[in-house]
Amino acid sequence: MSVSSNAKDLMFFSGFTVDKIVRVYTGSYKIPTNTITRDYGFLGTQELFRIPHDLGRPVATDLQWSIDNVNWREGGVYDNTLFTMGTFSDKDYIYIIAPYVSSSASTFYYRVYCRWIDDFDNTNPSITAISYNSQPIQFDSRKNFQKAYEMGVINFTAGTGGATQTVSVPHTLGYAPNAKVWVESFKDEVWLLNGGGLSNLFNVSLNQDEYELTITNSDISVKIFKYSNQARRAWYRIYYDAD
Amino acid sequence: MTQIKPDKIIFYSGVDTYLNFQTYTGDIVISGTVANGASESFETVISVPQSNTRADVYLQNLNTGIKRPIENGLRLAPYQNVSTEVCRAFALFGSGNQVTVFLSITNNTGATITLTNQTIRATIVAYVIPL
Repeated sequence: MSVSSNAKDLMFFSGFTVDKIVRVYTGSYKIPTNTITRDYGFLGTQELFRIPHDLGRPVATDLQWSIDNVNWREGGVYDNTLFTMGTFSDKDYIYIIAPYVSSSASTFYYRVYCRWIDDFDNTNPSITAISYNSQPIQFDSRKNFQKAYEMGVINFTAGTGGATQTVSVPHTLGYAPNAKVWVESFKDEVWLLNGGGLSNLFNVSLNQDEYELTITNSDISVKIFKYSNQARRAWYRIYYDAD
Repeated sequence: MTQIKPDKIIFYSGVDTYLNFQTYTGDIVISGTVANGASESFETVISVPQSNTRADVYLQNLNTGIKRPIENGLRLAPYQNVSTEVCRAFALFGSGNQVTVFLSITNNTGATITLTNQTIRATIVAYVIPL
């Protein structure tokens, strides 16, 4: 049996691409002490916490956040009683966006994980490798790794008025795999998926496009709701299951 | 400081990958009725016996096979609607190595609705991370 058909039983094999975590940021901030206000026009202003980075181009970010530094929520997910928080990046900053803010919580704690997007453009830049003094083991061959079945980019045509376009990427895994998608919600900004329909708190501007991801046994499909009249991109990753 | 070009490398120890990738699952069973103007919540509590963990959370409707991640405002669960009710999802990572995944169904259709019986499987993909 070839190694390529036996991914689930391999701890690590250089023939499979893995996520490259190029930066991890942790810390806390206060609104509005540490934030900037960005005016998104018709839909109003948003408070943004910015983390400068030296990577030279946007990266794919994941967020966990907390208001007590004990209980953590996945980035941006809806919570009936608290807040929603999101993350995105451009070539200079990682952003944390908090559309709805209660005055009862003044300090927000965050963990942001930055994955490299191969071939985001043609620049092939050099970056500074990271090292953690507190966690010196950065690779342990005894541990399993989330191996990518396929990574790629989807190109969407321009459109307006909420017009939709769905692009499907077929796979032959035989099960509904884990998959993640980052999207160009605004030009040159890489966001996590920001779908959610009419109740979408992350629809902050009429120049922003929304996206949804659906995963099945045979494909993943990314649906864009077009508002910006700009051609957009989405970057997808389909993973092998480990079990 | 070491400079690398991550576009063209498969693996380099100065670029972390998520270690000790493990998955954990729990099921959310949806049934019953929701009065007009009311919300009903359903949840599953999943033990994730790892420390220093971050996780991706996925929801799969076992009746339809459709799967979606929970992240960054993608609050549309793979819930099968009866009418125009809205289903939202979120996950709470508690201090006791437990993850609680919630589904909230809000009914503003103008009448009481009887939910379609369905099971939503939550999958926690947990990683050790170098914080």
